[in-house]
Parts: sequence; C-alpha cells; structure tokens
Amino acid sequence: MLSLIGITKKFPGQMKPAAENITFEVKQGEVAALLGENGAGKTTTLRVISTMLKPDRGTCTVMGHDSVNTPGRVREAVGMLLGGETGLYDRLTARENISYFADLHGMSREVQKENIKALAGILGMEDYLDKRCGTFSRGMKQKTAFARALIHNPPVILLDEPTTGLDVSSSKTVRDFIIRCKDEGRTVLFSSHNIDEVKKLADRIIIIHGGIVRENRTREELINKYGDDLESVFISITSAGNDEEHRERGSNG
Amino acid sequence: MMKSTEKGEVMGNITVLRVVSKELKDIIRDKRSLFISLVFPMLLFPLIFGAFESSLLSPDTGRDEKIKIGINITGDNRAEKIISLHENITLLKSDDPVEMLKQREVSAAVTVNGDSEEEIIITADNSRRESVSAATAVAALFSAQAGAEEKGNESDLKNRINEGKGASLFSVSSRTLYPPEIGSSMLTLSIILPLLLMTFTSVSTTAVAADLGAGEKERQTLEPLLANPASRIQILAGKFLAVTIMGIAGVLSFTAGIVISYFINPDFLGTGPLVFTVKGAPLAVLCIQTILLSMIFGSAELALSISARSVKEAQLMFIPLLMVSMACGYSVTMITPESGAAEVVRHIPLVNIGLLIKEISLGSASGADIIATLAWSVVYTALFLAAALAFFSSEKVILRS
Repeated sequence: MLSLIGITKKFPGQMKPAAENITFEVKQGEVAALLGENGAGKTTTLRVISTMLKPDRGTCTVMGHDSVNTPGRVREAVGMLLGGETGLYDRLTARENISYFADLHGMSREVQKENIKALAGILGMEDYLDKRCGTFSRGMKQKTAFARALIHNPPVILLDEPTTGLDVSSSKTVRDFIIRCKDEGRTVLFSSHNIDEVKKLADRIIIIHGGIVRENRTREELINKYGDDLESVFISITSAGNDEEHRERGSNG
Repeated sequence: MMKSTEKGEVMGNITVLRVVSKELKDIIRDKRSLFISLVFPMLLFPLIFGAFESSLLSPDTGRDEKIKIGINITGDNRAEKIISLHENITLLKSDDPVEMLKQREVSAAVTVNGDSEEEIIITADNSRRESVSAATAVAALFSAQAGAEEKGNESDLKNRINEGKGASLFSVSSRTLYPPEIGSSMLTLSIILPLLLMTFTSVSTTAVAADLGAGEKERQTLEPLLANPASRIQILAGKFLAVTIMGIAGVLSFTAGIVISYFINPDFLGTGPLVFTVKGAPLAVLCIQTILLSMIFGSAELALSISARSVKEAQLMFIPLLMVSMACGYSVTMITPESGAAEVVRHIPLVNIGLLIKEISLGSASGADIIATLAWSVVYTALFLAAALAFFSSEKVILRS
C-alpha cells in the first residue's frame, strides 16, 4: 500500500540529510505512526510521500504508484492534513473549501455534492457547512479540513502532527477521525511526538531520529521487545542515536 | 457511501476555470482588497481634482535640442535669415511645411508670402508642447527683429506709418493644427495617459497578487493545494487569470473615477475641457495594451508574491516595481516620440509601452511600433510567468515560510 525504500533527502546548506535511507512499509488498513522529536525528519518523510519533495535517493510508492514518476497518481490516492493548523480559506464556506479541492481532483459536481453530504453527516458538520470558515472554532475548522482531505475518497491518509497545538476536544476529534479512517479500511500514516497518542492509535510505530529510522515494529512487537513503557523505550532509542551522532562527529574530527 | 474520483472527467482547462472561479470568489469576499482595488481608485481622482482643482501640467521648460522648423518662402529670404539667427533652429525648406508638421518631421511650420511686405504664418501643432514652444520662439524672433529694425530706422518707420502700411515690418499670424480644445486634449492625454495607465495597472493587481501567492503560504493552504492532482501550471494559470481580471477591473474603476471627475468638472485637469481624442482602431490598441499591461504587472507581482515568505514581504517586494512603473510612465512625458531618444527607449521594457500609449494619444503610432510593443508585452508576460512557475516548482521557495 505504502512503501518507502532507502529514501534520502538533504536540503541545500545542511550538513546532514533531513531523511536518510528511510525504509518502511505500511499495509492496507494499518495505522502507522512516525514517532520522533522536532526536526527528526517526520515532516520531510511525509512530504516525500505526498510528492511535495523529491527524494535525492530511494523509492516511494503509494498503491504501486511511484511518487517521482507518477506524482499525479500518488496525489489522487492520498488525502493530506498538515499540522494543527488546518489551512482553510477563511472567506469561503466549509462547503466551498471542500468543493474547491474536489474540483482540483477533477470530481464532477454531482459526486462532490454526494460526498460532501455524506462527510458532513459522518463528521456532524451539517449546521455550519454553508458558513464561512473565518467564523469557525478550531474544532469546526479541523472537521472541515478532514472533510477536505477525504472528499476524493482516498485510500491513504497522511497527517502531520495533527494534534499539535489543539485543545482537548479538538485532539479527540482528530483521534476519532483516525479511528474512523481505520474502520473504513484506509491506510493512515501520521507523525507525532506524543507517545500516549501513538500508543493509543498506531498499529505500527516507526521511531525516527536524526533523519534515520531507529525502530519499525508493530506496537505489540515493540512492547514484547522493550516492555510497556514506550516513553523509556523512545528515550533510550533516541539517546542511543544521539551518542552515535556524537561518536561520528568525534571520529570525523 | 462515498464515491471516488472519476478519472479524466474534469481536468485541463476546466480546472483552470475552477481555480479562477474560486480565486475571484475569495477576492470579492475580501472587503479590504476590494476597497483598495476597486473602490479607492474610483474615489481617488474625484477627490483629488474636486478638492484641489489642481493641474497636472507644468509649464514647458526650455530644451537644448535643435528645433526643426519647416519653411516655405515664396518671396525674398529675409525671414529665413531672421529665423537662422537663432542658433538652435534648423530650417528645413519645403513646399508644404504644414504637412511636415503633421508628419511630426518638424516642430513648427513657417510660410512666408510676399517680398518686402512679408506675411508670415507660423503654424504650431497644439497637441505637442514642444511645437507650441517652437512656434512661440519663432514668433518671438520676428518680434525682436521688428523691434530692432524699428529702433534702427525711425524715419523709415514714420514713412511706413504715413503710407498707411502699419508700424510692424512683418505681418505675423499664428495658426494651430487642431482646434484649441482638441489640441490641448491631445497634449493632456499624451502626458497623463502613459503615467496613469502604468500606475493604475501596476497598483490594481498588488493586493490580489499578494494574497494569491504569499497569502497561500501565510494561511498554510499552499501545501494542501499543491498536493492535488491539478498541475502547478493549471493552478498558476488560474491564479494569473484571476489577477489579470482584477487588474483590468481596477483600471476600469480608475477610469470610472476619471469619468466621474469629468462630469463634476470637465476642466478637472485645469487644462481646458478635456476631449477624448482616441477613437476607433487606436482606442482598440490602447485597450489591448492596457490588458497586456495588467498581464505584465499581474505576472510579475504573482512571481514576486510566490517567492515571498509572507504577504508583508510580498508587499515590500512590490514597492520597487511600483516605483519603476511610475518612473517609466513619468519618463515618457519627457520624450518626444519622433526624437532619437524615442528610438532608444523603444527597446527599454515598460518605457516602450508608455511611449506607445503616448503615441496613440497623439495619433502618431505606427503599425510597426504597435506590433513590436504588443509583442514585447507578451514576451515580458511570458518571462514573468516562467519565473512564477519556476518559483512554484521550487521546493526551496514553496516550503519557505
């Protein structure tokens, strides 16, 4: 469903690649979490998958489509939500925001209408569907953004730190959304540095640090290997990564 | 049950139109941008001219260039000698100096009839400041010569008066190519049209261009937008058309402001009642050039806006562009279309467009110059759009915030 093999991306002027030899696979219907600290390479990885960034090396495929050679196909298969901020057009209504993205996906007006109605029902948006987003609460904006990401019925959902900066109820909306996507058989990959959230939602946990994948296991495998205290596991893995980096720097003079 | 995208159903040009439609909807709902782009321009001129009744025109300043005068002499050549006394005048003999004046080959036409009783007719093209100045200078020469001769030969003067021949040694009469109101209108339009159209078109697109480029980054809509199957060319084309439409709407709004000012006071520029002398094909060319100007500034500002981190930075980047556009519009007021300088500026971006607008308002634009300038306008637009697309495709620029 979603496969990354040896993805490396280095930005101009930076000493180290933001993502280095990233390899993992997420199966259909699986919820996977990219767990890492700020600057670990989570967003870069998601941007490569969403075709926003071209990798320097490696291959990324979504539903068998290569992100470099057939980016249009990948974009058709992916629904994306970036950050806690929802990125909506404030002067447009919720319906217009969703409809615009449906237009960009080449959907007919009839299909758009049906899908918007269905999503509004699922997400409980009927009351404010025709109100301008500038007047919305954060939770309402969040739901509108979800509907926008799902309007073309994508099999793969990418979420970049979806609960960052959100209050308790908005965070719950996000978590419910991820669970709903899983129930619908969609593949979800989300990034987070919130261990509790990852533990609660993810079937697969990919710990990323310094642009390198340090662990890639199912939640059960991880617990079997390290125990239930994921926080300690995370700290020990990232500390080991830091030590490794220091050693490398030392040996490089 | 939700349906999936029906592939290939609605793509291509329709996607561009849907982007245009969304952008225009978004713009129209932005009251601030709408006020700046459409309402303010309409109010500006009625306010300025209504309140101050000021004149945009300043008195002509002297020039060091040689003034070309066309002359036709049927009698003796005393008049020719008198005019030749002026070191800055070059005389060009012709059977029809007025035609030379119409063709803008000379700055004024002098026709001398008779022998000792010289009847001198000085014709000026009153749509050109330099022509009016040149004719005034020639008339002054005859006046000065007559004064000198009267002083030097008082007895001859008395004889002339006694013989009923009049005190003046010359009979100097002045004519103009056009009726006064037409000439002054052509002159006024040749000064204000390049300046106003350059300024209007560059200003009209700023608010919208800033929002459609840098605004996408600021509200974090750019990445979701670019993560769609619609190509970047389609998205950019939609944005460009929206900016151009708003630019043209802005120019129309400015024009409406001028029309309102005219109805309040036909002499709102302080140069006599204005008559819009550009009609027919020249008017069509003027409209096309104005649309192209909107496209040039729209594409340039869109490119700058896409490259900017924020709306504020985009607006900062626009300032030099606006200053350049105004400077280009103003510089054209100094250039005489037939001069050597005009041939040089024909190759300078934007100034050549200002010059063409000036020539259109004077009715002297040639077909070759029109085609060349319109073609250059298309080239400038294409270059700016290419830059915008390059910025839009650059990971570094897109992710800069």
